[in-house]
Amino acid sequence: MKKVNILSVCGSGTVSSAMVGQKIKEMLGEHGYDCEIHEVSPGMVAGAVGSSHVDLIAFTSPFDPNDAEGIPQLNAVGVLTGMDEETFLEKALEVLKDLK
Amino acid sequence: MELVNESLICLHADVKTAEEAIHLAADRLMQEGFVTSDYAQAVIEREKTYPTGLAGAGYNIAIPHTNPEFVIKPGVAVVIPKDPIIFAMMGTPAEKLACQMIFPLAMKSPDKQLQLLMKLMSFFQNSEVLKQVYEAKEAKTIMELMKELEN
Repeated sequence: MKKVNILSVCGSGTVSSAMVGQKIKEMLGEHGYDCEIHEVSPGMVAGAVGSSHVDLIAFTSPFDPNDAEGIPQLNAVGVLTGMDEETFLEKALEVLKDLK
Repeated sequence: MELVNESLICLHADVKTAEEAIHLAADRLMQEGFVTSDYAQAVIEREKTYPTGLAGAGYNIAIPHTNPEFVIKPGVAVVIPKDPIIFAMMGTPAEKLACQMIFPLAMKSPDKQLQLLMKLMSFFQNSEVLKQVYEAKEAKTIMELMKELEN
């Protein structure tokens, strides 16, 4: 399995991000990715990106895109609600297949 | 654990804005001993930065909430406004949703909150259940529908 590091961002950095993180881990796991998920609040994005390697950011709360310049940022509200997991999955796979 | 009680359910609520809906629910939650007196203001403030409007199955809903420090015990209120109320969309604040149902949350421990959130999300994906909540004539009907969240 290919290892990827994903930042899951929600308002508090605990609940929604944990739920989204868990689902992403399952979804991408089925496609051969071993996801390491870090749950953070929007204010923690810059620090997290600065201190460790991040391949992809999944968010349910907005954050300053400049805090994570050059890292793909995908809206994950559809994953949270379960109403549209497909859109996220397609975009995530697209992003991840370009990883070295 | 009793998450919902009849006093937390506001049918045909005469509220026009997200703030009014939050205040209505917060008053009930406070009277029933679920939240502190500053819960309403904390929720309203949070909603400005991290809005909670969601497109559910066939209906738009909102789940306004805030940090555990304003919560005494976990609970879920239900506000069904006479006319849909505008909430900004979670993750995309520039987008607005006219929400037919509002479920203000009072959450305590992150573990419990995660479980409840997952149950709520599957609840919101069920258009049949949402329809029954939306069209409910009395609070008791909604209580019955929401019972599954308590297990």
